[in-house]
Amino acid sequence: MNNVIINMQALEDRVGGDTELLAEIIQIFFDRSPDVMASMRRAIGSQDAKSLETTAHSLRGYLVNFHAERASDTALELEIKGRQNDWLSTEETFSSLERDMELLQPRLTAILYRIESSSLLRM
Amino acid sequence: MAAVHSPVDSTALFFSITSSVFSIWRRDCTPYGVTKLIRVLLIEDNPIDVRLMRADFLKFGSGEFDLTAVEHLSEAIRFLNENSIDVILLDLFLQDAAGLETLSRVREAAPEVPVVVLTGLNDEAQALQALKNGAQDYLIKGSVNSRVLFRVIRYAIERKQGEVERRLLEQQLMQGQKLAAIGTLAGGVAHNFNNALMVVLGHSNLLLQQMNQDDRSKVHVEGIKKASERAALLTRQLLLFSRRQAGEPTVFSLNKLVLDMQMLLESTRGEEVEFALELAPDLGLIKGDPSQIGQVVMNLVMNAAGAMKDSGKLTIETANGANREILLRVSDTGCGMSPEVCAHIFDPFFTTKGLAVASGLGLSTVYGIVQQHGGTIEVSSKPGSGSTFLVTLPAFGSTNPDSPTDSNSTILVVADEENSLGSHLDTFAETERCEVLKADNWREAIEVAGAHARPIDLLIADAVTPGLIRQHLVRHLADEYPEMAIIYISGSAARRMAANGALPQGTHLPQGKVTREGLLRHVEGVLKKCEQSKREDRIACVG
Repeated sequence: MNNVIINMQALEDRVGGDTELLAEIIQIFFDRSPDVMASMRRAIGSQDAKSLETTAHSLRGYLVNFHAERASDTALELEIKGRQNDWLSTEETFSSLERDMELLQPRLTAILYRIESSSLLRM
Repeated sequence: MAAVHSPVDSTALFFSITSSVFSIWRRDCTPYGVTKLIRVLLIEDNPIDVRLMRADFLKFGSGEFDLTAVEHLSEAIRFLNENSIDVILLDLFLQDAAGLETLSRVREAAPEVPVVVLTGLNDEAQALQALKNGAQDYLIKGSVNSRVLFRVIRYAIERKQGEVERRLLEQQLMQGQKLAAIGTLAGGVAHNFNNALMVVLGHSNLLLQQMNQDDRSKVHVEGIKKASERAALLTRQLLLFSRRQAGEPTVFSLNKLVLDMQMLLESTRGEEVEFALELAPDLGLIKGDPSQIGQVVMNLVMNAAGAMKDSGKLTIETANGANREILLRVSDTGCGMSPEVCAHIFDPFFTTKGLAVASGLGLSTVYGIVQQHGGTIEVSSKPGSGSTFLVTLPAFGSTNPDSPTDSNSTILVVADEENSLGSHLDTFAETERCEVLKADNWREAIEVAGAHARPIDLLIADAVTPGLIRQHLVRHLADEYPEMAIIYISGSAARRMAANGALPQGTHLPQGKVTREGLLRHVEGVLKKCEQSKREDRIACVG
């Protein structure tokens, strides 16, 4: 299990040091990810394998961009479960994902806060 | 990085010739000062991926790429149907399609556009499968930098173009082989048919000579004669087009070529289209392959006719240029072309009619032939105001090293197209500084001789050409150039003619078969004799 919550170096490389861009994508993540999580929860509740695969894939797409390796690995597990119509311990995996997201969100919030503070200082 | 064009090749410049649309075009074919952007369609439903990619394109590719992003496959298909795109970046997992089905639907909508698949780190197996299904490349999201992204895009476009061109060339080759077979067949039929027509024409003439002025049947025989002449003209045109290989360069009149093709050219236009010929009466000659120049005229006229659906005017004009060039101008009053279309018209496989309807090779062939003949082609056009193509070809003698002022003697060769006589003489002409004029038949010979500035010193001819016509035309040339020597190639036929008293006195009939060396020796001997005594031993026969 990869325990890296967020690979900051890789993330900074990806945005090329563009903090405004970084802030913008974090904001998109905060806007969109709750809906995706909710859809995933519904898919598990109704044992809709296709929907589980699609929503887990979408979330993984977001997470990969932040190099949030731990959470994206868990999302991949759920995606595979959906693809294989495997409901064994799916609830537990989803709970792991929720925990990963809870760890990730404060980190991203901190980055966002830092960016906003530095831009405020520059003003 | 902005797209920068290579330095200008002066031979590939096209100037528009009307002030209203004045601009310069390169052949490859972007208007100067305008950079052609690579149009990229990103089909991606992850807004973070879209935002990051937009940032990459904006920061590092704004001068080279034009990015459009859509979220759904349905939206992408609609966009592809309405817009022209150079490359597609495709996420296989979308809200309205997933997996390889996404790729197949995109390829169905835009089969000629290269697709680069965007995939996650753990989806490479599917990406590899996508390559087998026609994707040009794949990129792993999250680990792509802009340099790799742009390189992949450029390579994908190049590879796809290569694939498309190869496929089209294969199709073209097959079509070409088919056409060549048809051409050979048509040529053979036309040749034999023409021979039969000559008999009909000959007998018609004999009958007309024998008939009294008031003979009631005369009108019918004249009808037969006229119909035969029309049929002969058609077969000549068929022969012209069936001979597709580059022929021996000959000196010929562009006016005559156009007039010979007139019926064929007129048949390309719609009923309501006016057809006008404005041929300069004093037009100089050109040296080249008449069948290829005929193809240039035909392709330009077909193009002009195609631009006028219902009505309009198609004009073919010839003129002498200011610097010893021969000008051919083909203009129409049709729909005209936008600068974008104009910029690509000479590109191979470019067509506005769709490749199912047209090969897209017509104008590129024209361009190639004109270049081979040392000429240039220019186009001017404006949407709604028609188009004009101007072909400029060097006039015969303007650049020819064997120009009349430099050469010692002028030889006129009248030979059948299969006769290698002309090529035998080329080397000889170079070493002896002779000028060799070539004609396929006697009428052409008189035209070539008439347009030539200097007298003809030696006439070399195939004696098997039809009797009455040949005798008349030889006499005509002999009267015109009293000091001209004559060599007949087919001695056996000439001997028969001599036996019938058809050859003038002083005819020399050497024995044996003609060889290249024998012929050249003979030509050399006759030319020397000509120098010594212009009127002595005027006619010789070889073979």
